[in-house]
Amino acid sequence: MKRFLHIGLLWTATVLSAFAYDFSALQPDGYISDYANVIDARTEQALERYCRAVESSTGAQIAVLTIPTLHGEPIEDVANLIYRKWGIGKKETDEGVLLLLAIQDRRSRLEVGYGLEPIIPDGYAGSLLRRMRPALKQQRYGEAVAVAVQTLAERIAQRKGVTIQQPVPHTRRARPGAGFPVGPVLFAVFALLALLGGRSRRRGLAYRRHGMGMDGLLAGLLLGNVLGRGMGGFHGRSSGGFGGFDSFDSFGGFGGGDSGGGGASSSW
Amino acid sequence: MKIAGIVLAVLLVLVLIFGAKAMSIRNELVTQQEAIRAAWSQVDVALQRRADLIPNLVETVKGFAKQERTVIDSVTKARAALLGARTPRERMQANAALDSALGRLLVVVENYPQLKSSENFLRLQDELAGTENRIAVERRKYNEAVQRYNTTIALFPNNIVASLFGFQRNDDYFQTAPAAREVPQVKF
Repeated sequence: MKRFLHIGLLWTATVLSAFAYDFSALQPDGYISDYANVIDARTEQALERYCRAVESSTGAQIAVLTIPTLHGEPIEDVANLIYRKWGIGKKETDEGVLLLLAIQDRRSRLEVGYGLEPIIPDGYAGSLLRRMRPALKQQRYGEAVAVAVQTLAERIAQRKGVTIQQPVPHTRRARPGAGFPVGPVLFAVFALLALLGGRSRRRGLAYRRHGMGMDGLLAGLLLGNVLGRGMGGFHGRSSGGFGGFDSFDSFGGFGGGDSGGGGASSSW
Repeated sequence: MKIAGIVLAVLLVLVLIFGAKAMSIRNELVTQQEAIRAAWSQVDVALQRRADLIPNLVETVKGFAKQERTVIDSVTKARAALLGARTPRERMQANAALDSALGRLLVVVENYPQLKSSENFLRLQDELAGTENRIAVERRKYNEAVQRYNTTIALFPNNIVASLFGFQRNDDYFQTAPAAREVPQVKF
């Protein structure tokens, strides 16, 4: 009985984690938060450095977020929620912009803070998103993001009459799912252990009733799922070397900026 | 005599403490009322912005689809009504009318592939969609401000101070009309 309860709880936890999604719980992972794991590590690090230079020379903050799915929510609502939650841009100026890509939904949005609305009008935001389409269609996500960030940064810099002291991010073709697949590997390990465990027990009848195989499998499923999710944000770090920690240290969060829903949405 | 003096002094101190507390609550309530007003003016800015976009949109559509007089005129009229509306309630009603007029216009535009794919029109559509999103966001923020005020006013001991100074509950929430988010129907 207790075992059934145990399995039941595990099952509920897995199901709940798959459906109820709280976007406000997402935390920024530097300027570039690649939670869909579609930007290769080198491009991500280059962009991270570039965005830092953009902030120090123009005062504006550019944030990029990729997520696997919108869980059925309108992209405008998700983008505004996250923009305000993270507070992109400085509090006094609200000069920030958030580029959001929902990979499975094939939706993109550029959310513009109050302060950048005169520099990035909605029509310009829309045409920028439309220009990203060909690269996105070919799954060259890193390249699409790098070009978009650079275009935005140069426009902001030009309007403010400054230059960005940082080379343009070098782009490489992004391989989808380039990071180390932590979740599936863990799942496989647990599944293997469970199977082996089940087989060895089958020899002794006394152990048979305990049937740990199924429990182990479920635990593996859950653990693999949770760890895979949790580590998703760190893929650039784990596969890309030291650069990630450096940027983790110097990224002090965004500035409390606000957005009134300006910007544009598109799909690819 | 001495005891009465002590009692008086204690009372005086108590009155001072409560008075100071009451004043700080009152200031908080005034601040929140101002926040509601500021949030409303942001909604108004978004509405105004939308009205400002219409002439440009109408000109662009006219360039490709001159013969669609009735639809174009209804948009122009709805815009004039929005600019003429004074109270928040009137403005929101006029805005809903403009919603449906614009919806009909966008349906008509479907028949003009050249217009639909022109970069100028695409940008106008982005501006329009952006403005609609702004209205939605600012309405949400306004509602949040009203809700914050209503919660503050209902909590103890704020409710005593509120009734003392005549602060009342504000129920001017925006309800999103279910029709506003629906796609307009084409009738033949």
